[in-house]
Amino acid sequence: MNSAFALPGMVILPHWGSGELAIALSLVLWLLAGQLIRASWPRTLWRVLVSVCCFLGAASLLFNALAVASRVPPDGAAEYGVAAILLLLSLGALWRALSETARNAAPRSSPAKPELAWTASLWLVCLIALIAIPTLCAWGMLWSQVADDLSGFLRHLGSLAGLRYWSLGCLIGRGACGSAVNSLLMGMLVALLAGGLGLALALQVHRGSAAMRQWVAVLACLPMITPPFLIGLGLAQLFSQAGIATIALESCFGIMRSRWFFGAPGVMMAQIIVFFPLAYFLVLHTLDTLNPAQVEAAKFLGASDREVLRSVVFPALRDPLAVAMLVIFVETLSDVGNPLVIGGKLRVLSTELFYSSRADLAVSEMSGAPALLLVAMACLMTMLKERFVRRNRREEVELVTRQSVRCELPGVLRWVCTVLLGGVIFLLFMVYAMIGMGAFAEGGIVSGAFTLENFSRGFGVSVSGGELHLIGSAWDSLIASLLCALLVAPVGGIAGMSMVWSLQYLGAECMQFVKRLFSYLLSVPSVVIGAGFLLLLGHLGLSNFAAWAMILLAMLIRNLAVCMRFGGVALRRIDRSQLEAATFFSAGAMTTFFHLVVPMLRPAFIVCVGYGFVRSMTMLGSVLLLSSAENQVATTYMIDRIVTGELGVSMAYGVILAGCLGLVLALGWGLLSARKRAPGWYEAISDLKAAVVLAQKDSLRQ
Amino acid sequence: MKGKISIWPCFLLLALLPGVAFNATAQARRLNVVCSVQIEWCEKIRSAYRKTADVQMTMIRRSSIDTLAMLLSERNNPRTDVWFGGTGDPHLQAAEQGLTLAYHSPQFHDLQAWAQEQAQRGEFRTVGLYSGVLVFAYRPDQLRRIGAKPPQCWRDLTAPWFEGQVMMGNPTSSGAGSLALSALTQIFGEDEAFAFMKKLHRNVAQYTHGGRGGMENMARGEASVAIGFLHDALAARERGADVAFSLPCEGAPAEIGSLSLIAGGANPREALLFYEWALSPEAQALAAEARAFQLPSNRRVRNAVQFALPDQEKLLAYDYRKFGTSETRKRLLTRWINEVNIPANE
Repeated sequence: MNSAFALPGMVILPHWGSGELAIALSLVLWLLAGQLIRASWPRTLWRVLVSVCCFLGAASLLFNALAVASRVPPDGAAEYGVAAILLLLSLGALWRALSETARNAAPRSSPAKPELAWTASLWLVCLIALIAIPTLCAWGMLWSQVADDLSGFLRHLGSLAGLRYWSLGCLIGRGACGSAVNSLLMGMLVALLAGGLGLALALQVHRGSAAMRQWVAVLACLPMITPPFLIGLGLAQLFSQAGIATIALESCFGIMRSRWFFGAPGVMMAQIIVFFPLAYFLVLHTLDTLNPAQVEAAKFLGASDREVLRSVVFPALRDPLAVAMLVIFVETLSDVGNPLVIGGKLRVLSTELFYSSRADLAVSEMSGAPALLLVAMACLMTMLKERFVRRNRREEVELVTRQSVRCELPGVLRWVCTVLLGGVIFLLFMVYAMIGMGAFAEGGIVSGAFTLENFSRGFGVSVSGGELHLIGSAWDSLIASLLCALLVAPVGGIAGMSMVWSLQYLGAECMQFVKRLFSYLLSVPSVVIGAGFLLLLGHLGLSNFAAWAMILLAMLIRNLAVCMRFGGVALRRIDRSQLEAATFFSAGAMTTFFHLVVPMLRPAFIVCVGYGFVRSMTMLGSVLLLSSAENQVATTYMIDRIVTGELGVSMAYGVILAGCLGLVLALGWGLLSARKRAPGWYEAISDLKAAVVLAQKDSLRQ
Repeated sequence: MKGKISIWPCFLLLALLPGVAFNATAQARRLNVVCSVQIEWCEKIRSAYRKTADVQMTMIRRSSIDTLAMLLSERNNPRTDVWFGGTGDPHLQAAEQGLTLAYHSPQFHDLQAWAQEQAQRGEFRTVGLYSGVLVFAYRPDQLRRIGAKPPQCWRDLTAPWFEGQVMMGNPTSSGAGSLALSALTQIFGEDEAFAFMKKLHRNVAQYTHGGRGGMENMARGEASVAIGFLHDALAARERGADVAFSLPCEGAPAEIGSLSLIAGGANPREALLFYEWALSPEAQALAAEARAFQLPSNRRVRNAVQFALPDQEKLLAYDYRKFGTSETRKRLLTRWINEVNIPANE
C-alpha cells in the first residue's frame, strides 16, 4: 500500500486495496478513452462526452489513489507531479479531439475557421479542468478516507445517505433536520418567497411613476452589490435577542425576547432580501416588454382586471419567474456567509463543508460528503432549469422597451403589493441604517456611543517623517481585494466574450451541447471549488503565489458565467449579414472579431466588467477556504472579524467597501463609458440592472 | 493564419500577473505571524513590533484549532513563521507531530512554573505565554428576565430555563470549546461526559467558531450564559457590558496559551527575534494595555491585571499531557461530532 505506482505484479497481490484498484481502473479507463479518440476521430458529440468522462474518471481515480498512498508518508510531491503530467497529457489529447470534432461538426455555411474551433475547444478544456478537477477532489476525499479495504469504502459511500444529512427530525418533531434536508428546504422556501416578493414588487412598481421606479431600482440594486452576510448582520441588529426591534416589541407589547432570529428564520430572511432583486428585475423587464395589443384586446373583449392578470399577464411571467427561482435556489444552496454569521445551530451543507475542510483530520469522517451532495443538488437544479428552458423556448424579445402597458391589479392584490413594497423599502432602509450606525458605535452595539474606533482600528493611518503609514489591519486585505477584482473583472470579461464568440461558430447542435455543459460546470458551488483546490494542493502546501493564483482563478470562474451569458446576448444583436459580408470580403476570423465585433460589444463589455468587479469584491465562498495569513481579501477579513464578535469593525469595513466600490465604478464609468460622458447614478444603476436582466434572460432563450 | 492565434494564451498569462506582483515585494525582511489571541492584542503586538523591528510583518488572526489545521495542511511549505498564543493543547499536538521547532530561550528561567512545565511537556517545541481560566459568564439582567439562577456547576447549565441560551465554542474549531470538552471528560469520565454534553446540546444557542465570539455575543445580549475564558469576560466588562462570572464548582480548567516557532518557515531568523521579544516583559505588558487580562508568563511583568486570580484550589488539576495528544483529541472530537452534534439531539 505504500507506493501508488504498484506495478501490475503487485496489483495481483493479496491486499487488493482501493489504491491499487483505483490505479487499475484508471488505466482501463484511460485505454478506453484513448481508443475512442484514436480509432476514428470522434465525429459525434456523444463519443467526445464519453471520452471526457473516461479521462476525468481516470484522473480522479489516480488522484484518489495518490491521496491514499501519500497519506502514510506525507511527501507526495513527486507522485502528484506524475499525476499532473498524465492529466495534462490527457487534457491535451481531449483538446485535440474536441477541436477536430468541432471542425467537422461546423456547418459549411458559417465562417468556421480552424483557429476558432481550436480556441473554443481550448476554453472548454480549461473550464473542464478548472471545475471538474476540484469537484473530483471531493470524491477523492471520500475515497481516501479508507486506505485499505473495499468494504470500508462502501461504508463511507453509505455515509452520503447518513442521518447527519438526511434526518427529517424537524418535520416529524423529533430533533433537527439533517444538513441536506435543511439546505433543500431553505433553498425551496427562499426561492418561493423571494420569487413571490419580486413578483409582487414588480407588479406594483410597474404601475407606478417613473420616479418611483428609479428609486426602487436604486434600493433593489443595493443588496446585489453588498456582501450577503452584511445584510444578515444588519438584520441581526434589528431582530436578534438584543436587537432594536426585539427590545422595542418587548417594551411596548411585552413580547418576550428570544433567539428566534438565529437559525433558519434569520438566514431565510436575509437570503430573501439578498436575492429578491433578481426576480424583481426579471419580472419587471417582462412586464415592460409585454405586448400591449394582447392586454388591450383582452380588455376590449370585456375581461376584468383579474381576468387579464390571470390569462394574459401571469402566463407571460411564468418562465422568467421560474428561471429566477431556480437561480435563487442554487445561490442559496451555495452561500456560506449568512449561515455562518446568523445561522445559530442551523446545519446546512455549505457550513458543514466549511467546518469539515478546515478542521484537522479528526473530522475527516464527514469531509467529502457535503461537497458531493452540494454538487449533486446544484446539478439537479441546473438540469431542471435546462429541461424547463428547452420545453419553453420562446421567441426573441428585444431589451428595447416598447410602448408599455399598464396592468391594473384587483383591489386586494393592490393592497397586498403596496404593503409589501412599503415593508421591503422600510426594511432595506433599516438594514443599511443599522450597518451604518454600527460602524460608528463601539463594539457594533447600535445603542453604544458614537466613536470612530472601528475605523481607526481597521483603517488607521499615521504620518511620520513625511510618510504616510497604513497602520490599520484591514488595509492589506482591502488593497489585495481591489487589485484582484480590478484584474479579474476585465480578464473575465474578455475570456467570457471571446469564449462565446468562438463557440458561436461550432454549429447549432455543437453549441447547444457545449452551452449545456457550461451551465452544468458553472453551477458547481464555489465553496466546493475552493475546498477542491485546497485538498488538491494543500498536501503540498500552497505557496503564497499559488494561493493568490487559486483565489484569482476562483474569482474568474465565478465571473465567467455572467460574462458568457452577457456576451451571448450582446453577440446576438450583431447583424448576421455584416458578418457574412466580412467573410465574403475574405476577412479572417480575428479581423472580423477586432474590427466588427469588438466595437459592438464594447458597451456590454463595460457593464459586464463593472458587474464582475463588484462580484469579485463581494465574493466569499471559495475564497473563504483559500485565504491564509498572507491571502486575506475584504470578505474573508470581515468574516474573521464577525466570528470573533467584532461586528463594529466589519460594519466599518462594509462602509469603506461600499465607498471603494462606488468610487471605482464611478471612475470606471466616467472614463470608459461608451457614451463618452460620465453617467449619473441612475444610468449606472440602470446599466447594472440591464446586466442582471440580460444575464438571466439569456438562459431563457438559448 | 496560425500566427494570429497566439494572442489567446496571453490572457491566461495575464491572470498570473498579480501573483508576480505580490511576490515582487518578497525581497524585504519579512515575518508572518499567526495570532490566536484577541484581535486587539494581536494588533497591539503587530504595531508595537513594527516599531521596534524594521520588518515587514503580516499577521493573521486564526483560532488555535484552525491554526493547527492550517499547519497540518501546509506542513511541507508553511506560510507562517511564528504561532503566537492560543490554547496550549493544539500547540502540544503540533509539537508532537513535529510541526514546530525545538528551542530553548535564554529567558526560560524568568518564566512562571506552569509556562516552563508546558515547554517540558512539548519537548521545548513550545512555551507558555499566558494562562487563562475557563468560567461561566452571564448577564445578570438576562438571567432575571428568564427567571434563572446563576450557574455554579456544570450540571446547572442543563436546567430547562437555559434552553437555547448557552453560548459555547465549537470544539472542532475553538480552543475554549475544546478545553471544555476535555475538562468535562476529566471531571465526569468519558461516557458520562458525553451523556452530559448531549443534554447540554439542547441548551446550546450556538457553537461559535471561536470562544471569543460566544462571549462577545453573550455580552451583547444574544444569549444568557457563555462558557468561555475569564479574560474575555473581563474585557467585555471593561467595555461597560453588564457581565458577571462564576467558576465551575467542579474546578475551573485553565489553559496555557503558548508560543511556538513553526518548523520550515521561510524566515527563521526573523521568527527567532520575534519569539524572544514576545517572551520579554515589555512585550507581555502590552497584553493588559490591549485589555487582554490573561496572566502573563514572564515573572518580571509587573502584574497589571486588575482582578484577583482564582485560588489554586479552585482550579481543576487538568491533565495537560493526556489531553495534549492528538490521539485523545481525535477520539473525543470524533465522538463529539458523531454523538453530540447530530440532528437527533435537538
